Amino acid sequence: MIKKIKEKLPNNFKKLLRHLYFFNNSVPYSYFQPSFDQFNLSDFFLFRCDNFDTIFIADNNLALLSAKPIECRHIFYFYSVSGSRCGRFEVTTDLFHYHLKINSQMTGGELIGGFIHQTIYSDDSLKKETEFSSEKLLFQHRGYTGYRRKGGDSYCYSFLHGNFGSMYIKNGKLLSLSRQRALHSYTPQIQIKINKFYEFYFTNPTSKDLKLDITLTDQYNKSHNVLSVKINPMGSYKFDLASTSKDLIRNISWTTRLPIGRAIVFENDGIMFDVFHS
Amino acid sequence: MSNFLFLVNIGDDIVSSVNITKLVPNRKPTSPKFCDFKLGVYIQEESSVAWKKLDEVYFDGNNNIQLKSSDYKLKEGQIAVVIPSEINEKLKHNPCKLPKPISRQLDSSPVSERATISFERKGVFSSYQGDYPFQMSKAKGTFLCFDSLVFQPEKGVINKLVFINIFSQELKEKTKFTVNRVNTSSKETIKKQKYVYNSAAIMNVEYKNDMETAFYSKDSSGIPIFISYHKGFKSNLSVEHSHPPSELFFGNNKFFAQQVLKKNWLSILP
Repeated sequence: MIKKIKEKLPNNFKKLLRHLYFFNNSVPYSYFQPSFDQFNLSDFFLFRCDNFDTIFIADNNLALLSAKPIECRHIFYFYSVSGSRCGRFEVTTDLFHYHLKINSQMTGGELIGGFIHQTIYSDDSLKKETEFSSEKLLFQHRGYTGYRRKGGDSYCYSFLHGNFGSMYIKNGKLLSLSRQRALHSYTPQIQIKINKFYEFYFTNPTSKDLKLDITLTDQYNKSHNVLSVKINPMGSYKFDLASTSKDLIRNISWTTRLPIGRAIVFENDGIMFDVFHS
Repeated sequence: MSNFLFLVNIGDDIVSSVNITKLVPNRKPTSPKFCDFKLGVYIQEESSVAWKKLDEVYFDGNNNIQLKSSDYKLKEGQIAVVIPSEINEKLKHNPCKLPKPISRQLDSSPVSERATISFERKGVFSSYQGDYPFQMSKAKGTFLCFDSLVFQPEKGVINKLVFINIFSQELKEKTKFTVNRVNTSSKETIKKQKYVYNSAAIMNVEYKNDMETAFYSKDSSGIPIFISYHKGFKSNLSVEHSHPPSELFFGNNKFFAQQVLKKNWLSILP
């Protein structure tokens, strides 16, 4: 019966129903999207100017789509851990990719925080190269962030791809399609190693405070809630974990109202590091 | 959605591993905390079209499993497909196609059916959250990606493209395929590497600061992983996969836009 009713509903109406909290409280994005000119979305990336060099590889989406160089204005907006804007940098190039070396001048002196990537094309090139699509084409910036320890034995950048955010700038204001829904418990598929130092970076790509609860599970399956904090809208938070042979911690989980609540993880042994999305 | 995982021997004394936990990756707090399953491990020889089961691995009271490529004596370029399976599922010894992996989704929470895929060289590790979608393993497809992850300007850094292909359906024969690296301006081919279904093509990739390059195959789809390390020193490793071109777009027509992008490139590449 329900199946038959579903079949008769128009697609747009079905999509709207899927986004209603009553039917699905795990949809990560808002149903409604703005329709202003040059609207494009970005993941929420992490910069580190503390004891790391950070580089960002930005895609020129329209040039990649068209398989030819097209002039692109790349704009990068930087946010402090408390979620306030601390810097802006822009550059124009027709390359397929632009390599941005992030420094503390760009970030207004902030050592750690979030940033997003936006692009602007000439109206002519955008219209000409996307006219094949009857629906408006939305560009998404998922880029790659590389980290390298300053002055140490890090000869190469360790890269991460963008993960989540769907953020954009409208009239100079940072906005997002990401939404908080029901509580979700997220467990990365990692085993906490002994004698490592972990840094878990959480970002809040929404316009509301994000409550974060962290639970550690030991090898006897005993779980302990170790932290409960609020992250400011568009802000970030770092959780440190030093694992020893005494505490026998094996796994970490966290609960937030983000349907996909991933973190960026730095695993350190004092000299080398590994960075990955959880 | 359900996904395969994989181990691969890429040479240079680099060991790959898969780490997975039975704690459910993403769930509502009211759903069960654990999802019990086992892992089947299958290989296919370069010249063969039959799969061979190497192992069945259980959690055995632990919450985590780690498998290593060195445990299965894989040849260079050979992959072992790791399949999350129901505990009671009978896994055949020599199937002509791979069993479908289970999904670990318990409620409406979105789950990426991933594991930690790590690479270790001289005691240094690097990892990413990886998988190989079952849906992708059923189609022949094509492949295109760009060289963003090769940006390593320091001298002495080695970059490798590890291009993983899994074709889970029945094969009649193995054909030699090619993955290519091209200059995106001149469209000139810089390098080629042969591979077959169910293997990894491994290509050493030199960073060029005056040239943008792309990688493609008109023969099959696959997942590109980029690995970087310094050849002489004990340095950190970098391991990451690049996004498929569909991720350059958002919304309903992202896969249509990907089709157009691939057509624009593949029609002008040799």
